[in-house]
Amino acid sequence: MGVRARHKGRSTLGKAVLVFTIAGVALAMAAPLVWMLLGSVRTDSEIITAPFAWPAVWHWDQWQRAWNDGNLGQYGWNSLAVTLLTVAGVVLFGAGAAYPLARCELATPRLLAVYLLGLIVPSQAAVVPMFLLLRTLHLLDTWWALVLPYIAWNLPFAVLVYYGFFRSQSREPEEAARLDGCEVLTLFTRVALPLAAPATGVVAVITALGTWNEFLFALLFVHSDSAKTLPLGLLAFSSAHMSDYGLTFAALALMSLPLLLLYVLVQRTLIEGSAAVAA
Amino acid sequence: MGARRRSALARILILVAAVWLAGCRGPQSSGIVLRLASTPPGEQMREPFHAALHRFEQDHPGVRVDVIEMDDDVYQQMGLLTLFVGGTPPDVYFQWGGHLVRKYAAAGYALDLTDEFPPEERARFYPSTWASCRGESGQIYLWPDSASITTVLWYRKSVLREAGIAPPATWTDLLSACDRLRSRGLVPIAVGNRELWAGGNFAAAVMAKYAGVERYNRILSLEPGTRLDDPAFVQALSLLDELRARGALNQGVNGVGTDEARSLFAQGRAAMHPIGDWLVSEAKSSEVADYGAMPLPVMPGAPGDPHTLLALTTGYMINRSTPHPQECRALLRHLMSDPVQQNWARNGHLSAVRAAAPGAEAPEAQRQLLHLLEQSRATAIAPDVGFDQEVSDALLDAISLVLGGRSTPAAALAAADRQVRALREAPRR
Amino acid sequence: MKLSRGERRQLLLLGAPALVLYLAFVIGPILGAGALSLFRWDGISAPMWLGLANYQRALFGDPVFANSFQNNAIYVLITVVVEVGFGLVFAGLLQARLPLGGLWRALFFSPMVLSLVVVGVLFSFVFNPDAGLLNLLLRQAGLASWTRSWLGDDRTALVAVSLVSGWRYAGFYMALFAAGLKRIPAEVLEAGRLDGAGEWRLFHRVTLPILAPVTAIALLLCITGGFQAFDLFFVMTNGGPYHSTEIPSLWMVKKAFNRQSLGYGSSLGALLTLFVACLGWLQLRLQRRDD
Repeated sequence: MGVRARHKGRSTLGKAVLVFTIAGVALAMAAPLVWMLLGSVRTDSEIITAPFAWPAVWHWDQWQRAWNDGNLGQYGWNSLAVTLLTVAGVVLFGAGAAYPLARCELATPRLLAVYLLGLIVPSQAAVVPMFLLLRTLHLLDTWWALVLPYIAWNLPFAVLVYYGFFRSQSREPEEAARLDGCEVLTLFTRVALPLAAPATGVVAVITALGTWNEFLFALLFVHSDSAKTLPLGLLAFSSAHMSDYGLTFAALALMSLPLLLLYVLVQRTLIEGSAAVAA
Repeated sequence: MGARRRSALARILILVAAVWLAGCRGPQSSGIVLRLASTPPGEQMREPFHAALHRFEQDHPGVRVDVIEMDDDVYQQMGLLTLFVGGTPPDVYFQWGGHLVRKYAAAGYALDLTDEFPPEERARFYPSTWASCRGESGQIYLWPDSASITTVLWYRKSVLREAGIAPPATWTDLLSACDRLRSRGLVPIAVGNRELWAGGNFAAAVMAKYAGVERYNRILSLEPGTRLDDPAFVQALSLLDELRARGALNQGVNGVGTDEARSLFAQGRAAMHPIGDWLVSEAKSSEVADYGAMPLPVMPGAPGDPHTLLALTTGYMINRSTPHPQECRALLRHLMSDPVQQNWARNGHLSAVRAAAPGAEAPEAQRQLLHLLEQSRATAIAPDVGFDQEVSDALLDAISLVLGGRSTPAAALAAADRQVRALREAPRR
Repeated sequence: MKLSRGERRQLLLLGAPALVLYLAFVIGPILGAGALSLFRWDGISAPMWLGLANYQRALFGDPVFANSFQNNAIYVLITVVVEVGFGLVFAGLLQARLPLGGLWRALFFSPMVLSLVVVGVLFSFVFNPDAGLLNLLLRQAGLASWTRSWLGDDRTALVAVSLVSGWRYAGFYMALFAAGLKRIPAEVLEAGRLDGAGEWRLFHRVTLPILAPVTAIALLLCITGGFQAFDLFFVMTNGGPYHSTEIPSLWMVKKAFNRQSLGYGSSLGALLTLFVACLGWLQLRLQRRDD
């Protein structure tokens, strides 16, 4: 009993040290974010003299100005539309592609390998022909200039996830539905897809996050305000206001807070999904 | 066909239709629409520019001018090209003189405008204009609008006066002026080279003086028998290296942006600032009175014409395949007419048209710029607009290394030459 | 499942839109880039056949491109240490029954939701020599001599960008290893503890071996992903100063789009792809040999 107690005493101290250390690391890593959030409601001189002081006056007008001057409303709308369209496309087409592969084993290994290529090849290498293709189709500077490539480049991941999922699903519900005289396509839409909701959750969240934050395609394929997305808009805004810390921080805060808040909600799906991706 | 398949087909058709519609333009309006592609006109010039367009529309009922505006970078890189190849080509488009004019003309996107400029018409413009307007075989493709001096040595009159210095006329004068200014805690010459072109143009102006415009052109066009580490270029860069070594430049030239350098100058913490003529139109009118513009001082042993300027004409080109060539010509004739140019000149525009010279009421700086233009016999074009941009990149890299004290002029230029060796050896048409 | 011919065709149709889009925007462009790389083209004039001349230039006549791989390698090295290393450390801490493990995991993962543009802009401010957070804190701590222009100095810029990447991605690797940790049977660890084994001993005798496949995947992701980085470099330094942060993907985009050397840019892209593919293949081979 004495030995056990001593062990316990040591481990409690050890644990406390661990917690403090890791809390310290977390604090250091959070420092830039805290600086930014605090700074978004303070003036430049305040930020420079006392980086972490609690604001005496909350300059919400900076947020207002960042929103207006940075045209964040329009860019946000573009980002939202592009993201929703992309997620819808990825889920529908990805599941649609994976289902036959999983159920019918039609040329599966070869097709899967083809989809795998997309995971290995860096998308930067393919941007020039993509640009030329979009230009020929007269789609440059529209939402489709982003949605179509985004769907295409997210398909490998989606197909793999859905494939894995469908393979691991028992065929019973589908066999039963077939015995009831169900058509094959209805099998997919009414039975298989709804059952694949967990996979859809992961695919949707990860695709949405990647699309919302994507930068290279947006940089090259869209130029005018009617189609620019948030990352582009933010970059342009920050370059124009390089010396105005408060204002730029407000824009950064506007862009990140919604995501961070949403993160709190979908955190579990996101983290576990990302881990599943890698495995 | 089962119901399923029909609805799938319907869905595909809808998708295709949506895709097509998204790329579609609206219904064509009646009358003539001239599409004019351009970069943003700048705050002061925005309203006068659109007023001139509006005036043209009034004088030509049934004709409308549609402006397609794009950021400078986007325009120069892929933006303009995309308009041409993407199925919505402009009828008239803004262009920087020199290399780009030649390129677009060679690609068949430019209308030959030589017949618009018989000698009397040509005399309306400054002689230095025409070098930038011609294609490979000498025809005129660019309708000149603005004469831009790329590098002028600006100085704060009050700062120099208080230090008891006269605007330096020779290089030795400049060096001693810098020493004097430094001892007073001022930055003698402010350069913001983070984007590489500001310091690059400063150096190129000196290089053009040492090499002479003709040799400068040949070196930057990678003609056989030339090298980027030509002794004239090395000598020119050595002068700048000397400036840096003596502390005549601000700290960390390559980390400072052009805006930052300009505000050093505007605040009076720097006495001199080598930048283009646009300083006038971008400065507040209260500040401009104290600005003076002088040519680069006479340099030791420079064989070139002392009045060598780094200058550029910008203007407009007409798309060769426009369905409305007459209306396009009329538009440009109107925009480059004396009254329009004179109005623009009052808003900071440095016109290529003689009659639109800044009058007595214009700031002294503007008149000094004009004097430089009139005086110059030899004009060179800045590396990043006059020549192959990959050559310009290599040269600007070398210049930034020297300005940052990271390399000797000879070594930096030799490295630049290595970077373009493949271009030299590449097969030409 | 038994299917009639017609039904089989219906299923194929299901997969058709995905395949069409994928071929049009992924496979097609990849092949197209390969084809383009054999030409010189500036986007307006007619393309000119060059054969392998672009590749010759890329491999032997482009000092910046050659150096960019070195820069990228340094970046990958730093990120492997910071990101994968951090992940392993966290796994060790979890094994040592760190309290509130779930909370820490969620906290450290949060930078992953931020766009790299946001991260890049934020840290550009953090590293600003005059008013940035880092130099400010250094001065307040009395270490003013340590301050410098972190992104403007070619000796520190690459390390700075690499550390920012670490800041952003560390959480992902922590999550990865945390998930992998679940595979370890708790009884084995408990038994080890009862036998008097220390946490460190447990870590490298029990945990690490079981985590080996996860570590392999983490390394694969980190290394191949590292050679495809773009956003952070573009936003923070755009390759400067003096090309000290120039990486292959950035140089490739510059050549293709800024300098209208579409053919040459495509050849750089092809070489980068080849490199990444080889790296990935090599790693998978090594992994299989271990198994």
